[in-house]
Amino acid sequence: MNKRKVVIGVTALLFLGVVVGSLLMTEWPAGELADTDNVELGLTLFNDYGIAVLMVSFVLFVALLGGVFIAQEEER
Amino acid sequence: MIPIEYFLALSGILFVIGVIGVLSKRNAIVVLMSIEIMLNAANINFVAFSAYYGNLNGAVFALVSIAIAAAEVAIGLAIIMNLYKTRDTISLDEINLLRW
Repeated sequence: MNKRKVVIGVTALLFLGVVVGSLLMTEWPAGELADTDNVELGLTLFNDYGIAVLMVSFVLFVALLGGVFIAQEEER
Repeated sequence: MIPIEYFLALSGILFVIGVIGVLSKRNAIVVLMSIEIMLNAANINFVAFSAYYGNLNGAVFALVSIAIAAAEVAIGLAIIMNLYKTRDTISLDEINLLRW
């Protein structure tokens, strides 16, 4: 059990090293950190991605029904 | 001004924390929380790139991803509740049958 945790830790540290090292070595294009325009965000969300929002609402509804169905108390 | 590498490094660290949690923990709820940490690491990447390059598509994608994560955690908690009712345990080592 303990050996397994050591293997997991070493693998995770190696993975972290690869990820952080590669992103530090990459030359990212110059960009400026700016506040997100909430009005523009809302307009983009509902104008360009309205169908996606509808689909997400459908998925959430089905998840609601499924969660209630799985977790319900069965009557004996 | 904060370089974008800081956000990406934070995201990578969070992702690795989630991976360690998924691989090493036995408690189903802790594993579910670790999966959420990994999803949120991806969301941080989306929002960071969106904020740096002035493109709102990333923020919209992060919102959609958060909604999908909510659906996933609802189903996951319901499944864990059902497991606890039928098996009296949520330890993933003892849940090794696909029947009830």
